[in-house]
Amino acid sequence: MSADSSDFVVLLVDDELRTTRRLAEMLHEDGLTVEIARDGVAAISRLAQSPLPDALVTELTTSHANGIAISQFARSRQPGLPVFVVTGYPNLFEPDAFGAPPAMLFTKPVDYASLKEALLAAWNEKRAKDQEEAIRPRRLGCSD
Amino acid sequence: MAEETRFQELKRYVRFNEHDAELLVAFRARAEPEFPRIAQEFYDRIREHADAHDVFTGEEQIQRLQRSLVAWMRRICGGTYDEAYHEQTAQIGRVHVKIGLPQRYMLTAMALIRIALLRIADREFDAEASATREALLRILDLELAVMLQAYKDSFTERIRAIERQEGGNLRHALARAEHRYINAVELASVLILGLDREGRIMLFNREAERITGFARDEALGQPFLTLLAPEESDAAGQMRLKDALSGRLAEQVREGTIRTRAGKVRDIVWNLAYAGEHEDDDVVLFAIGRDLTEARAMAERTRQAEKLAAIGTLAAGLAHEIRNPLNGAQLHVSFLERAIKKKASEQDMLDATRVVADEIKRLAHLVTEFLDFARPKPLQLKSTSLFKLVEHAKGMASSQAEKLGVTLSSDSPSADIEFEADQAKLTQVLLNLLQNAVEATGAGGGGQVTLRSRRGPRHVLIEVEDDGPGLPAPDAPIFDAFFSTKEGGTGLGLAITHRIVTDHRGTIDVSSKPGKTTFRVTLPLRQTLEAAS
Repeated sequence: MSADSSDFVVLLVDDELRTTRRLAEMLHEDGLTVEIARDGVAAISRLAQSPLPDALVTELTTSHANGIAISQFARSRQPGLPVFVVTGYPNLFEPDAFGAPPAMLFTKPVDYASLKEALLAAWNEKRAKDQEEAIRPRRLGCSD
Repeated sequence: MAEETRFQELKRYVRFNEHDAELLVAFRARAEPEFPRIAQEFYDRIREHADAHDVFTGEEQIQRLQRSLVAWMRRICGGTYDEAYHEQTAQIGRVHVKIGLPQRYMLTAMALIRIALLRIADREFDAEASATREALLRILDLELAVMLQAYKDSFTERIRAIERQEGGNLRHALARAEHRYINAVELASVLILGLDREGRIMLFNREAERITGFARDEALGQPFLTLLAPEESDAAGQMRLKDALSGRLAEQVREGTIRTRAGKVRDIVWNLAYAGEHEDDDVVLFAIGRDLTEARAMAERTRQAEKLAAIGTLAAGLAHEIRNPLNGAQLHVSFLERAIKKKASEQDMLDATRVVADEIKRLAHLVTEFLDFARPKPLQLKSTSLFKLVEHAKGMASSQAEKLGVTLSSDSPSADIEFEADQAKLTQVLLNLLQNAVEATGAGGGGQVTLRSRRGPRHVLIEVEDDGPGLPAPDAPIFDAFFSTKEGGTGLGLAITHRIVTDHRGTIDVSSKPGKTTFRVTLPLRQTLEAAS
């Protein structure tokens, strides 16, 4: 089975649009599908629609609704959704404020390679879980 | 020889003797049948008198009183005038007092009886008439004297009772007041010292004991300066205390230090009250002191903590504002690195390079603005034309307004106003406010921004009003550094604006609702030297 990460959708939330667009472009080149929301309201509107993204990358101090509120909303729809916080305010970050599993912190300026690795790891994890779910009914069938 | 009784003294005074007694017995033998008539006539006369009549309660009482009067006339002619007789008369007097018979009626009544009895004496006794009259006058005067004594005794007793009561109240009140004053002095959480004319401690309350560590018996009688303020016992200090002790108080509140028993120095603020006008008190100066040592240390700690907290908030805000451009620059450098490896198009690489340069410029701008805010240059004050200032700022904001389709208008007073200001800085203030307003209205497509100016009695009022959507939270601390940042801003615009206005000793405030947001700047027409420095 060939690994195709393009069905892994990442939502980026930050009001630094120029840099966020460049980040999206680079992640796209690296095989991920990326969407952008410029503030809390846009992010929550997007998260109200299905299908949901597979990972959330957000600044903490987004306007209208902050990163914690966005994450909580996202996880109310998709429990366990991977959350990555990219912020200039690392001192405001409390990993457990985002629910389980703890959010992962990236302090600006972000090292692109580390962020990409973390997102690819989340993709791999999701893929493993999807495969497990795909084979589980068969196993159950065998045991009968 | 036994002491003469009051009655014996009275009898001696009117020269009432045994012969008088015999004459009276003889008088009674003749006059007794007429006593009831005299009694009746007497009460008839009294009943005519309104005031005396008030004493009577009824016919039955009058009958009884008439019988008593008859018995009394018989008694005064009874021939025995001993202490028992005296006591009976005194008892009659007390009854008169008790029933409230006024003294003047007793005297006039006695005159009526006297006349009736003397007439009988004149009529019935020829040779002895004169002596009998005298005996009658003497016994009647004795009766009167004894009965009047009852009035006097009663009066004296009443006065004494009042005095006793008042004295008791007064003593009680004094004791209570004293107790209160002692409590006030002892329980007060201030030092209370009383000094005599020589500056010796005469009063030393509990708080003084607590703060100085000296017990009262150690402090009392000691010179204040030697015991508690050795630092101030130089010549100047001695002089100051001497002045205070003689009522020449330069100031009623003075700060000083005291040295405790343990050698620690405490800061005390003293309130001095001169009490030397009262010659009978040895305390001439009351010193009421509050220990400021703790409060000062606490205030200093609080100030330091607040300062650190403010610096912390500012630093966190600054760090965030630095991290964003750094993030932009770093990401674009990563992009460039990749682009070079891939041999991507020159245009892409140029774009990315420009972003990196932009972000570096943004950082430099942030540093400049931060310094403007944190360590502003002193104001360059000179006479400034309001018209010029307004037009200049409007001109600078107009291109952006045009671009966003915002109508920018000014509403100025008919005559120009000259006022003292730093032109460049005030231009920056107006430009900041205009740009904010233009961006706020322009975001929704078009809109109206008005720059209004007015003259007050001693100030200039400048308002920037827009019909944009209004502040998201009207009570938010928008003038705080890094409170909010719009795209491309540093988060310092309004903070710097606020700082410039307050440096001009002016005020700035905002009111906002959807469709109308007004920033209002008030500036004094004249600056003082202090404000400029």
